[in-house]
Amino acid sequence: MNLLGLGTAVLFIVLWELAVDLLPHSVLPNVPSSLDVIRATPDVVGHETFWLAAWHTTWVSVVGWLIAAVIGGLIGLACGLSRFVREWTTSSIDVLRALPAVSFVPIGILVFGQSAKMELIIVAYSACWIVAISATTGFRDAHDRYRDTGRTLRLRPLAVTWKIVLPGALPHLMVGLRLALATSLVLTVVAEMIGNPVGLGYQLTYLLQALHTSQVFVYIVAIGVLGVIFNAALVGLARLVPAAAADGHSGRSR
Amino acid sequence: MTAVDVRGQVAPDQPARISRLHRPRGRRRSMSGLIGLIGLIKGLVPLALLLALWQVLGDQDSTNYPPPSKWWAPVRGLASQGTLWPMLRKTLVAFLLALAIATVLGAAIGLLVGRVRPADRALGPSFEFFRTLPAAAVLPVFSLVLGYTFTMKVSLAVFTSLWPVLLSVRTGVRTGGHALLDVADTLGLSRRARLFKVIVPALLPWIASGLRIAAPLTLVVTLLAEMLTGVDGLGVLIINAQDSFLIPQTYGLVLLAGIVALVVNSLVAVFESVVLRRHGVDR
Repeated sequence: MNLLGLGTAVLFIVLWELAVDLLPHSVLPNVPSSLDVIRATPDVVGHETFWLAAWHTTWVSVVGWLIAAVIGGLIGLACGLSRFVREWTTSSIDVLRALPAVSFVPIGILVFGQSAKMELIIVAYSACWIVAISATTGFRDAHDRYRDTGRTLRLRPLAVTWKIVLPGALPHLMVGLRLALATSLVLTVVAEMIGNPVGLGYQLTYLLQALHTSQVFVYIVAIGVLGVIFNAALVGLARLVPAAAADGHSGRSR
Repeated sequence: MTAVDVRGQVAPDQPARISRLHRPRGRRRSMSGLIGLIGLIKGLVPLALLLALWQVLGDQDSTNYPPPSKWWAPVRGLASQGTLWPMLRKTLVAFLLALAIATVLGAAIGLLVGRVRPADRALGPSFEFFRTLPAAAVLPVFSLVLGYTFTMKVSLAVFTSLWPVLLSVRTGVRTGGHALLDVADTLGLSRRARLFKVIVPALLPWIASGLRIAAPLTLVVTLLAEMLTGVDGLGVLIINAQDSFLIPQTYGLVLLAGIVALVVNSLVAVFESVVLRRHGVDR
């Protein structure tokens, strides 16, 4: 147990409480104190709206992430296994990846309207590059390292890919998938704040405009907690994958 | 990116990135120059092809997918009205300021938590939580405290892009920095000399690798803050174009944002390779 760390976190909360209570009201207008937020929590969490919003944000993030995982994984597979494909696509991917994902939300709204489809496309688009990059690295390294093993064992190309390259690439792939899930959540929230009026992101803007600030803070914490849960779920998943556990991120040697 | 970007994901914990630091120097050199340029152009072919096909085969009067040749005129229109450049400049100033503050602050805190164990244990859990909070979600907090202002925009960008630099520097201090700092102690250098002759050069490669993630993130968060709050900048132009259904203009402005992001990324890449060439290999 890291008591020191816990203590510091509590200290931050106490300082926040004191700042709101003791400073003149004009310095921090509308900022709720930590006690206000704690008091507002049962109201927010006890209401169906909260769970519907949380459910919407969760499924959009996860489905968008799954689409990104498949598309990004396939791009990574092609780029990782074939030097030719890699050479002819890398800078295009770099350009597409560099485009700020946020700025696609307006185009998404124009083309697909205020819909869950728009959210999914934005999420999948921005998250797939992250998977593609780490999958490329993973597949390339595994291919380069284990190709000769496959030859010695006289495996067919498909068997080499399935039995050797895929497990070998898993550690990298898992890192990419974890980062991509975090990105998916962020983009879902953004798409809800600017575009599709549902989910946690929309509740955030709606309550802020209504100046229900204590409830806004409850939603912020909820989004943070959702991010922590997503991360923990993927870390757990990575543990289940035997190759990832055996190889580990740091076990790579060059 | 980034992830993350907004790609929120801030953690520079990809092994590929770290191991890049230890790659032999020769390979990096041969990568640069002419071969690198040819590779760059070769890789851009599919994208150019895609845009060309869109232009040639796409419906010339399509509402939702206007051909690329129609994107530029409405953006030029904004420029001639005199709104484009001031807005772009505001975004860039906020971006540069935020990145500078995030780098200095991130490196300083990273140095502290990397060097002093108790500080790391005390701050670690809180930092973990702050780091996972999406920029979009903390925006309401910043706008409540600071209002819809330039300061809010910069503070939000600093808050989100601080972490990659911080974590990278922390790792740097952990893995090799101690030895160097001990050398500085042994030589009895003055505080000033320690800072500029030992600490900063030793940490530069780590700062640079943190910046690779922090720089695009800062730009994204700056644009995001503008889009959500209407504080002057390129983000406002994009959201206004979308709200008024000026579809070609939206495409053009997004392309402009993309070009800015590309320039930023290449500058950071150049900075990183210069730093690695000068400081990276001696460790």
